[in-house]
Amino acid sequence: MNVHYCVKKASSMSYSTFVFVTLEIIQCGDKALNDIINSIRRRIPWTIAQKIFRKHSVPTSQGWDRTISKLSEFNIDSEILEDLKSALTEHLLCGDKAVSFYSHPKGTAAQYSNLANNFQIPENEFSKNYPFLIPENKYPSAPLGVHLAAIEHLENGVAFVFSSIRETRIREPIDVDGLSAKLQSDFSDYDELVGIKVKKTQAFDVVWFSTLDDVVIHLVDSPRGTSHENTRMAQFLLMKAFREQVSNLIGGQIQNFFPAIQKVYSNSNEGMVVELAFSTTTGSLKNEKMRRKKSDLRQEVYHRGGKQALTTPIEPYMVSVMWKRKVSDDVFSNPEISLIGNTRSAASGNPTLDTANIYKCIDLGDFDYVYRKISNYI
Amino acid sequence: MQIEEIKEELYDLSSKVHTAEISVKILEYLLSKNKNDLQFITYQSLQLGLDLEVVNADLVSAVSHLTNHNPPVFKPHIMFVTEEEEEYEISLEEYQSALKNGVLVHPESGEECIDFKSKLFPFFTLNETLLEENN
Repeated sequence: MNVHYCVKKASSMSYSTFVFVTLEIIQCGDKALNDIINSIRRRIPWTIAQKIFRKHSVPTSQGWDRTISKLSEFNIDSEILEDLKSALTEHLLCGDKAVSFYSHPKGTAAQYSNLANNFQIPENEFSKNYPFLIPENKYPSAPLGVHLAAIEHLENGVAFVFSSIRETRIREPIDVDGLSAKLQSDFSDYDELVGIKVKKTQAFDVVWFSTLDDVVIHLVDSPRGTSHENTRMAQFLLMKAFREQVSNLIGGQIQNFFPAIQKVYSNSNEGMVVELAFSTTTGSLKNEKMRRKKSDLRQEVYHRGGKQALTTPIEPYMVSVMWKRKVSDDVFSNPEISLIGNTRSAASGNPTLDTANIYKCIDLGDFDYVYRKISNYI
Repeated sequence: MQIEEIKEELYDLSSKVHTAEISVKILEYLLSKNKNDLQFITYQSLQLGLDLEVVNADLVSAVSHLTNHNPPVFKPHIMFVTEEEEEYEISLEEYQSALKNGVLVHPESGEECIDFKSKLFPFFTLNETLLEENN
């Protein structure tokens, strides 16, 4: 077995000081490659995985099957394996997350960094496999609930990574014609029959004590389509697990994203608005979305015309902004933040929004970029 | 080449090519509009713009003619729409490969998708160079 030790330095541009300082053993060979590729395939959207591969000069083809077949002919050396493993780890920390920011007294991050230095991570199925995902056939034997899987010592803080098997309920219409005559008769009073499928995925949720701005960032997995209720439950269970397994002293003042909605929209130099929902004083609600995400909704003709026709300002309560970042010589990323308020909150005396969704980060550099951008508005 | 020249060419063809007339109408319609308003054109955009009752075969043929013209008036694009109504533009190369092989790679999951045809629709943008020459 070929074994070596590494200290990984990420190559992202504006985050060049980011360092994984943990010494890790990386096993080189087909199994190591398989573990990495399988976890990336299960975890990372294809549009992002392609960019990660290109960033690390790993060849891709059309879709996963052809890419894997191409990789078998490509000499993946230990350095590339390390790069891909780091990319996977970074995605576990910041890929497609619902985030909340808590302000903390100065020195909190350093305090937790010290705690982390001597912290014994309990051995469980999640920690044993980290950063790889556990095989799906081992889900039944995985521990129930949310468990500490790893601690990542980052240049600007320390991140406690928790993992769990999360269930998502998917509603699917059932073809009545495929049922027996008896069942068809039993359901004859119904116009539509819907079944619930339970899909299980391994989730990674993070409590990150950042030395930047003395903020604690809570990040829970929240790929597009995740319901508000599921995100809320994940946030609650993350906090419960942290208190029970790490420290019950966590708290802090949660930061309000709502004022950022109007401020980001109003700054036409800030990224590209790709989706916007707003109310008007003429009694209408509008939800607008750019279809190709190549141009800014703020400049779109219909949007501008509608605004000009009003003598009162529009009142945004939801906005998605996308930026374009150069990740490497020929790879660009498009990290995006969605601030999803609602009309009820917007119309209240004190509109609040405690969670933002950050999508399409290729690496921690992307996340840091979005974090710094949005911090200017809250 | 100016759009006027394309129109003249189409007039000359009108006795031989039955879609020449509707192609000229499309060109006149495009010229009458602000180019900022013409950034995402579908068959329905042209049907409504030309006040046709439905998207008919002549309209589709005329668009095809203008797309394949030298220089082209339209640039074709293909959009993939997921079950969740997320839209992803796919390249013409990916589209042609999918038609040839019967399989399209799902833009989000990277997995192969067989029943892809119902999830695709075409749209068009204008040949900007041609349009700028005529503005």
